[in-house]
Amino acid sequence: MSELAYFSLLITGYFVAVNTVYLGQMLVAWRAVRRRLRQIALEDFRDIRESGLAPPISIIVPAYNEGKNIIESVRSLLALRYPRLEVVVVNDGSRDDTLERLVAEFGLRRTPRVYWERIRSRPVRGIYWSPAWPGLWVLDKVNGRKADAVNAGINLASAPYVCVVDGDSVLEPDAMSAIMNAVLPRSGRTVAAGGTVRIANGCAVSRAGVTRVGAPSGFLAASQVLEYLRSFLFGRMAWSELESLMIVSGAFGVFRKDVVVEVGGFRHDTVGEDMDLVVRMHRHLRAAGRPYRVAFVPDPVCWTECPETLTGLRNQRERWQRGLGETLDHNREMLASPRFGRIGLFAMPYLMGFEYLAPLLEVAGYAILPAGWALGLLEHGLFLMFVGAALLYGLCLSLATLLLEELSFRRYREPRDLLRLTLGAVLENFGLRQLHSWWRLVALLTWRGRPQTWASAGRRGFAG
Amino acid sequence: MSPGEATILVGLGGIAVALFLALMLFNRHHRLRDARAEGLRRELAPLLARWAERGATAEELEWPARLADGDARTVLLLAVAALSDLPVEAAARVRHALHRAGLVRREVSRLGARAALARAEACRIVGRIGDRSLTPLLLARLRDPDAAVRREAIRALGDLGAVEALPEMVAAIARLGEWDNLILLMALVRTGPEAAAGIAALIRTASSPAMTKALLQVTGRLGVAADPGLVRELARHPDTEVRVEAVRVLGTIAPDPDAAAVCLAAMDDPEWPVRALAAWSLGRVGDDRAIARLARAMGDPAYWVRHHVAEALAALGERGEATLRRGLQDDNPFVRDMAAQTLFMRALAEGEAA
Repeated sequence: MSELAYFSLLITGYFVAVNTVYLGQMLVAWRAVRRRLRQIALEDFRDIRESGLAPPISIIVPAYNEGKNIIESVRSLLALRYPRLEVVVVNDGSRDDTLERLVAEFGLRRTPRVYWERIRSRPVRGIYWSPAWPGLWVLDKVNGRKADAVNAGINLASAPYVCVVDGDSVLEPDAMSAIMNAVLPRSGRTVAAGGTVRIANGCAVSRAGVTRVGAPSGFLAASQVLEYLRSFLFGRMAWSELESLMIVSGAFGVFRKDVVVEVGGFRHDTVGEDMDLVVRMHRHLRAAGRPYRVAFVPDPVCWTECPETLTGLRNQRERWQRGLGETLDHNREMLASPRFGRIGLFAMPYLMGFEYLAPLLEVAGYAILPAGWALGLLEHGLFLMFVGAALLYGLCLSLATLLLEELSFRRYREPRDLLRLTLGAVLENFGLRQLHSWWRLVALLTWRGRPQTWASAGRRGFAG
Repeated sequence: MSPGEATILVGLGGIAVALFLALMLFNRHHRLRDARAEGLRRELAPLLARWAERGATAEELEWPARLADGDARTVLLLAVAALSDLPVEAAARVRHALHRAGLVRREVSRLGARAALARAEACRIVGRIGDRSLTPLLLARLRDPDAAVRREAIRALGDLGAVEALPEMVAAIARLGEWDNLILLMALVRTGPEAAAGIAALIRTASSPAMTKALLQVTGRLGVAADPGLVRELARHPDTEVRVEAVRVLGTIAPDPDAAAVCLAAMDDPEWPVRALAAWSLGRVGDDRAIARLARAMGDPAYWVRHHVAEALAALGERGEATLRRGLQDDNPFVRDMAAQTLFMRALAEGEAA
């Protein structure tokens, strides 16, 4: 058998394995989403709002040069329908007018509030508050990147639960009640819970939040809508169901503060601090033999903007790949270790094989198989079948995701939105997926030698 | 391309087309369903207004009685959602109309449905109807073989404010072994302050620290303890979490002249959460004999104890504030910082800051 034939076999085997995993995820997620839907069908969160037993939550908003969005974002957080909320905005040494806008909008005053540094962070320059907005705190500090900003916010937070929300995101009014509604039935065990992050491009956003949901007209944004749906509705739902969820999105996640402090907070030396934190929580709690749960809750939604330029998208994907690499590197002793149960034996190998190393095989496949076919080394029919099956299988998964969305949360109600997203599902196979693989491969090969930054994803802002 | 390869491609293509068609058909079905619900809502709105004002006439009840099961449930849900905004008497008239139209009977019949999910949903809706005469039906569901149905029955009894069902609700939570399920504890709170005596009796017979803690949490939220002596006793319980909750309750229940002494003793507890809550409660109890002990605790090694001690001193009037001002000159920087924070925040809140 020639080298090319071996390689074809390897690629085919990988293709079959990864798609079998996706199919399995889809089936598990389908069942879990339907069950959750029945649970929430009649929910009005009256108990949470009226009983007085809902635990307080501190929302941490790390903000770096978020002047465009920060006021809308904070106002939407202050308008959340949850009885006991504290909002802690951390201005991470922004070079724009983020702090000035906050001070002016909410009439904030600098206070001598004690800062208890339970988790190390860069120096704090000031803590601001106003009696007119007693639930809002603004912490101004020296720049130290997102993880450092969140840690500083956790140090200031007074509630037993902290919720991390990106400064450029908008939560739905019931999002906090909905996520806590899933946490509270097992309040003693749930240490982290994440909600769904959806793309706001194409939607109408006002101070009240997202007022009209629509699919973006641009192809780049439409393909990301699908990607987020696949990732959250299928991927995270399935991993949560299998009690092996390894990531709670940094854009919207609730954590038990005592456990976050125990594991030392968010790491400074990674750009994938959200995944890293959850993996360390798993490691810490499993090593201690403590029962715990990390959950994904599909109904609470956080809307965020996605990049609409190739440069912005590339920056984001390279950062994600780098974050994944750093997390796997920092926690490598968990990989394939029976000491960490299903996390070590199942979730970590999946992340390594099907996420981190995937671009190697994908890019090699994209390059070598067409070359082999062009040189006549690969049979014409086999090549066409492989390419066609890859495209059609991907399309089926995207359509199944849209169908699940239609049968569950139905945010995109207009047929034209569904048609746009379906078109995106078809077109993403011709160039965009290949670009994603290429960017991730470049990041995989080069991240160790490159500095970390709060790289801009080139968003436009809700306010404009 | 071999026939096998072509079959794979045609098969996948067929699945993609089928998924797309299903997507569009479901979308159409859901849009029609939404339009139908909107039509029902429009038809119900004037009826509800009339029922709330003067009750339903036999003629008006013909329309909901004729509806198919799905539409009847939609109408019931819409009506039930409107109940919470109505004055008590108007709500009672609407409830009566829903009974007479047979809508409640139809939902009640689902309490015995084969599917557990249907029974759970029916429990939830029956609870929302808010008719206490339905309590026995929900009590029966506390022994349902399905745990989800039992949970929904507990919540529904809470919605009804069925204080008479308290022992059964607590027994059902005990059988579920879910003392950390705050949603279920919220149902106990929602039975209202009349539940205080029942909760106190249940605390006396609690079979575990987790149960005692949970029932203390409920007592704290009710703001009424039928037996303050029992709460004071539990402030010395060997379990830390029970002590924390008991001390917290002492600060939330109606003034108890003996609470201050117990909280002062708890200020010497080896566990900082107990000391922190004791300080918090001393601030709320409002006994200024606590000032000397609180002043000593301003240098407590635990941040949250210092925080609550300073807040308590600020709440204890001029003598407490004077103690805080003296704290500004203390040798201990932790005492100085916390005193400065508390005094500043107080002044800012009162609009007196410079």
